[in-house]
Amino acid sequence: MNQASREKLQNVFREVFELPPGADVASLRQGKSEKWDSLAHVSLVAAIESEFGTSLDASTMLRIKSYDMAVQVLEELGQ
Amino acid sequence: MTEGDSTRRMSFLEARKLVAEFGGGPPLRFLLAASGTLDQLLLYLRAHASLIGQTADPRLLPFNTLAQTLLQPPLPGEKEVFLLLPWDFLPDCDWRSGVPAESATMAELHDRSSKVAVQLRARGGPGIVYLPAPIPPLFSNPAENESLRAWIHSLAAGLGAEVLSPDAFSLATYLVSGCPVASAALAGTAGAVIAAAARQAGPAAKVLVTDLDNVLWSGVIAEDGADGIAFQPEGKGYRHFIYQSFLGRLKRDGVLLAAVSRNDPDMAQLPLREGRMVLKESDFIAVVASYAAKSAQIRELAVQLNLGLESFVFVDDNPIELAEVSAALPQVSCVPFPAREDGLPALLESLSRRFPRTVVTDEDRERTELYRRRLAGMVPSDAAGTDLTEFLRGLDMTLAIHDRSREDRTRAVQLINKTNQFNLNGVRVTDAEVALALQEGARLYGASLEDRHGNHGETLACLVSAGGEITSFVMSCRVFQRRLEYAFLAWLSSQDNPPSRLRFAPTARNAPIQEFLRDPAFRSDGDGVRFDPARFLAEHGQDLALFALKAPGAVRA
Repeated sequence: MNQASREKLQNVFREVFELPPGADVASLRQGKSEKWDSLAHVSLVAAIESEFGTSLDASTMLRIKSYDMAVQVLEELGQ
Repeated sequence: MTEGDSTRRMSFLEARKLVAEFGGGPPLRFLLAASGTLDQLLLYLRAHASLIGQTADPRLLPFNTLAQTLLQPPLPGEKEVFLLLPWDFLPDCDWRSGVPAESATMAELHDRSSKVAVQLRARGGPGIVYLPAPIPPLFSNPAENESLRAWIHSLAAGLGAEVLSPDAFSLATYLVSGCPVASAALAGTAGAVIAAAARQAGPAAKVLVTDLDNVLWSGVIAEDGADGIAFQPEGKGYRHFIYQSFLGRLKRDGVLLAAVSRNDPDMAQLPLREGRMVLKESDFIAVVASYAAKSAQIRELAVQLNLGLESFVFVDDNPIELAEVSAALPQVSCVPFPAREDGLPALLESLSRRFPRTVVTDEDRERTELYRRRLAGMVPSDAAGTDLTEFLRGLDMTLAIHDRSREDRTRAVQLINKTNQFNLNGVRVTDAEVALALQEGARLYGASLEDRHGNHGETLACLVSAGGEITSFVMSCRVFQRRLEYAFLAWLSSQDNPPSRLRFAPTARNAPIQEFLRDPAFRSDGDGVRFDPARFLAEHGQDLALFALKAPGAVRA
């Protein structure tokens, strides 16, 4: 994944979880962040799909449990 | 708001940015009734409402309570928009319930789904957006499944629903989150919902304002002449004939038609007076021809007619004109005229939706004549329009300047000889005359434009004599308002030996270049026009910055 896509993904995380501009998103994990509840997870998946123009199947949606996993999923999709 | 806005692709971050930058506006309150979860839609609803200057304030139903809501009357004064799926008419079709082992009969399914349609109709005409998701096979016979799908679709259509693309449904999203709308379709769905809510909240449109060139007819009247435009039911005129016949029906239904065109008044009205087209001048309450901003003309019409701007729908083929009107008058619905025949059905469907009529009275039919009398003698407004700088930046324009002194000059010479409006003096030249001038040291330039909407081709030509006088300067009207003429001349001003004079002569049709020459860098001295290139470059270097430039010489300050 190129740098521009990484920055876009980080911006998506910041916007969904309402983090300040400089916040570290690379360490975000479901279960460790209070803001990452089930509703936020649905919002995150929808935002990623929208921003990257892709459509994820149910099992892939559930795999995204951290920023790193989101990067991996998008790389698998050729982003 | 321009109609393309309601269907345009809008990403999550773009929607967030729109909402964050929106300063707020009057609330657009409505019930958004759906059986699924629509939390993901909220951001896009707010973003789309911001495009019409309003703050979306929808009330959502708790998950799976649509059926109960239909059993209760609407809340007094609350506008309603229903986002419906096939299983809202027939719960048997809901994927989340699996496929039933045994289905009811087709007659029973028709009966049950019809009752839902009756409940919806009884609510007094709510806004309805229908998402025609695929349904599970309830029957063993595929033909019966298709028949059921079509039946439900027809119920929705019979309620006046705006029907989305089936691709707007995602089974994955629906099963995981309960939201039936695919993430990629959230923006488009929100646009349809906001448009339906705005229609619910506002008065029905009353006035259709149409552009003329390449909308009411094919061609540009000031360039092609009355014999060069097409409006007959054949060839390139066919879709304009259909559009005119549709406008004729709207007029008979009591809709007021007006035309606003960047044109000379006599030229603009000529085809309407000749009596060869479906529409005649008397079908319009006003035909406003002016080179001033179209937003100013529409505002003036609203004042003269004593109608709110919400009553106006504006149709134009030029995205720049639509953006100008949309930015200046966000209450006006701006609808693009399609560049291709295949876009025409959607245009007419969209306009029908904006001018719904169930009963037409004698008074409706006489309305045009009434308002024509009121507008008799209306003078076009010369008020300034919207600053389109930001819009133009978003067009990703590339200006390519070609030195045609040595290369193929066919198109440049052709442009000089066919352009009427933005034409320095109307003087026609032969190729031999241009060749002779070039031999004597003249320079010939052409310029091409490409932007987000496509490649507009070579649309500008300029011939500079050996003595530094611009003897020909023309630009196609197709690229008006993009600041192309300013950018080109700014570039030319930055080159060695910039021109210092222009051989200007007024003609009956070259008002646009006369307007251009009002710039303070030009000064008439009785024998033509003096030109101050340094001043022009200082003032219009910013126009050059609107373009990515490909030119034979770099810009020098």
